[in-house]
Amino acid sequence: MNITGIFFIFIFLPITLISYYLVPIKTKNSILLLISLIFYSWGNPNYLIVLVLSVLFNYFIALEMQQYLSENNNRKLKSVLIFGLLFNVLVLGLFKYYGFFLDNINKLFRIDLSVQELPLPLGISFFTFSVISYLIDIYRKKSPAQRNLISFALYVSFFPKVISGPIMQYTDFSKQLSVHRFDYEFVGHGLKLYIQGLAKKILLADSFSILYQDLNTLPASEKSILSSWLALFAFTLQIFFDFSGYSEMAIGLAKMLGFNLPQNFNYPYVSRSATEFWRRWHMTLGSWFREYVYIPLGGNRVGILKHIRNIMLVWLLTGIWHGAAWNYIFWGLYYGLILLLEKYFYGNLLKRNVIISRVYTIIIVMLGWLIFASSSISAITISLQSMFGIGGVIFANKTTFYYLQSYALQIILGCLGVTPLFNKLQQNILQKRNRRTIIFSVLIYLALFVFSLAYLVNSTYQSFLYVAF
Amino acid sequence: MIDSKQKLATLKRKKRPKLKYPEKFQAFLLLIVFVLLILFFNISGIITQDVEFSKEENRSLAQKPSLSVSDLLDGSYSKNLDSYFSDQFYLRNSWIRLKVNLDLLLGKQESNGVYIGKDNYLMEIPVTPDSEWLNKNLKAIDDFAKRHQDKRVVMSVIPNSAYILSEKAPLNANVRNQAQDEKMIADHLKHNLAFIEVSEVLKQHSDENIFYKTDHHWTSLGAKYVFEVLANSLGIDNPITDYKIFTVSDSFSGSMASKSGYLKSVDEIQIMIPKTSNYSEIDLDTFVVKFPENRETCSLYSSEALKAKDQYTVFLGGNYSRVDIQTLNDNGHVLLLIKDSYANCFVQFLTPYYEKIIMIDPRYYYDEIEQAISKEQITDILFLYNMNTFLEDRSLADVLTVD
Repeated sequence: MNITGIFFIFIFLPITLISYYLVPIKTKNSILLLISLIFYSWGNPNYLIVLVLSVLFNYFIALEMQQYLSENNNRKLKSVLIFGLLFNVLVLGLFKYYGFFLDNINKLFRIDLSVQELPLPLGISFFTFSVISYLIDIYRKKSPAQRNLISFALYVSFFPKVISGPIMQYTDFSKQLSVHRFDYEFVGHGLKLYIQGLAKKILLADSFSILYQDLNTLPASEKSILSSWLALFAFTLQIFFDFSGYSEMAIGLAKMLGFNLPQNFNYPYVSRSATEFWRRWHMTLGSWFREYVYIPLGGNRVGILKHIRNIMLVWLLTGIWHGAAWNYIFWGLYYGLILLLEKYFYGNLLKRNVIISRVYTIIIVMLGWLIFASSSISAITISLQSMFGIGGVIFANKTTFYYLQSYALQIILGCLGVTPLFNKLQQNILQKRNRRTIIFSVLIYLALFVFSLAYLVNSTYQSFLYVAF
Repeated sequence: MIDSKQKLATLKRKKRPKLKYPEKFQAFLLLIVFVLLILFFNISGIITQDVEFSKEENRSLAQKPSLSVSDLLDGSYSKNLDSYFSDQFYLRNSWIRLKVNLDLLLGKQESNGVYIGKDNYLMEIPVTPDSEWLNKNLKAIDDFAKRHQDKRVVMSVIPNSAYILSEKAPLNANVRNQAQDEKMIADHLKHNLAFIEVSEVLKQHSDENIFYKTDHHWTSLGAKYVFEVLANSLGIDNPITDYKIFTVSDSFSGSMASKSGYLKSVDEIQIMIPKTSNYSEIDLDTFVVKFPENRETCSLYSSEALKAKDQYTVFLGGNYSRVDIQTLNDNGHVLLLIKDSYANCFVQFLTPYYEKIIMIDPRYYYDEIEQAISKEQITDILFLYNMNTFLEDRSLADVLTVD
């Protein structure tokens, strides 16, 4: 189910909250699980099988590991863990990378194996990473295996996070499984985050997406240097507001149910290096890779060559995780390279000047998004050529100004929105402890919600012209 | 004086002690507001009846989907439910107006592919031609004209309002130069038919109501100016200049208003009736108009259309594969009009000069055009199109080509 839909907001969410808070304490987790499974299977119930199988498989694997842990049978413990990890990775690989893999085999050997596209189960990349962290944490004795199937299933399928994260480590979730009573402050606070995220997604991200599409599909004769940069900037803003908006909605929804999900974005675009950017962007994925890949490989406490290997491997995997296509792989390797350069060459230089380091970072990030968003190397070169005026592209034209004036306000809002400014305003309003300013802030949230709703209702707007033009 | 004001201010401040728990207060208010909103819209949705048809959007709105296992399993139930909730959301049209106004406030100058121009002009955005189909069509027209050199073959393509009324188009909008498109088409076709360019004459009248503000069509007035230019090439020696003008609607909200959702103005529709020698104020129904499926009327105008959504269909009831118009004339002139909807309001200017006019709309026509031409003893052929439709047309070539 789409958490930005009218049905979700006006029917599903109220029913969820009412039933969750009305049922007796002992059944709250079961109700939440049921709701989560309905949520997950809403658009396409076929995916549910994969999720349920993954839950059952990992539940029993974990119990098995727990058994060997108590018997101190390290050899068997390790082999069960490896079996569990391989199985999860294979399932993910089968659904996500099978088509891509065969495609490339075909190209490489000039053969023609038929590719049967498998539908990608929703959120499989996210819940697979959740269960992998679960198995490893048991192996590391960070937490015992969950004996209650309902609790474990809820960890994997908890509806606010099942489709797009944040990726939550099991230990953080298990602490919260003891049941929550209704606390209006929690619900109201969650609501606030949800509305913030909704507005980011609907009022900003969706608009930047249109701008990016429009500018990207301009005929070559209408392109300009400025419009090419604007297109990339629009994508940069779109992906941030889309993803961070979604994360914020997820965190807000979980909070309404009394759960705390980890923060996923911390103003990544004001970072002063690419290294810092990745500590602030999709933080739960970054910390997952650090915890379960980078550090087990030795992290940076190894020789330079091994460190380079570790970094490049982690970033190769990060790239692959984002999707089964070469552009994601190149994008991952690009960051691996930049991070190594920052570590071994100019990282310290960046610390000297705030402005230079910020400009440097945003350019690195934008070029990263260029790789991320381009379907082929030639698409990247075409974009770069028009961005740097190679081949007689003019600096700006009428079309450029048309789009600039149409989106100026949203771009300004977007630029302010990537900084902590609005959050600081929020804090100031609360610190004033003044009724009126707080009522005012609530009215602003109301307006954001109503405005987003107008765009949601409008999404099915279409007018059928009389049989013809 | 100042003292008492200060005292009052301090008193007021004392009355309102600072909040102990501002977060709680904010959360509480938000929750209350949200609960009220949810209740209000759900209750309103339940007590108001579902709307079946949206006049604004000119389409049937989604209705409550019925629950079935197969729909549930292939996901179509949830999709239908989503469109149902959006389509039937309480006060839907106001929400759409709010969205359009927000867009305008943010500086947008187009909505759903419609330019929102100055003075509330809504304009179809001129398209970039699909060159493959365009060349096919041009070649087919050229071959067709070659085959019929014994007849008078004339063609005009009417540019769109965004180009003709360029000063009304949005600021900095890069409106396609349709005069160049016109020139290009003329260069292709002028050897075997009389291609009449009309951009210039329409531009001269750009301060008059030659296009509707809310619709993508031209008005009768615009059509009249083009008729005056075409008359000579059509072999009409003394075209009538005296017209009786009737305003048949002052509430026309056309296709561009529907498409954009921008409903800030309405148009008048005028019909213009040439004052011929047999013209009579009382009896305007002097034709036999044959529509497909043996339907016949005796007027060029459909008064029912004025009660419907698309009032432009007042002209000949809209588009049909073929419409035959028999007039009272007996002069041996039979016109074949190959056309799109722009021609529907043009016909009223042609009727005094032909015995019969046969209108064919290639988009809906599946018969043999050559057979019709010989059977009806066609003497004159006119191609009349709008530029956008012509540049995107994918049916002309098929209809004109003989296998």
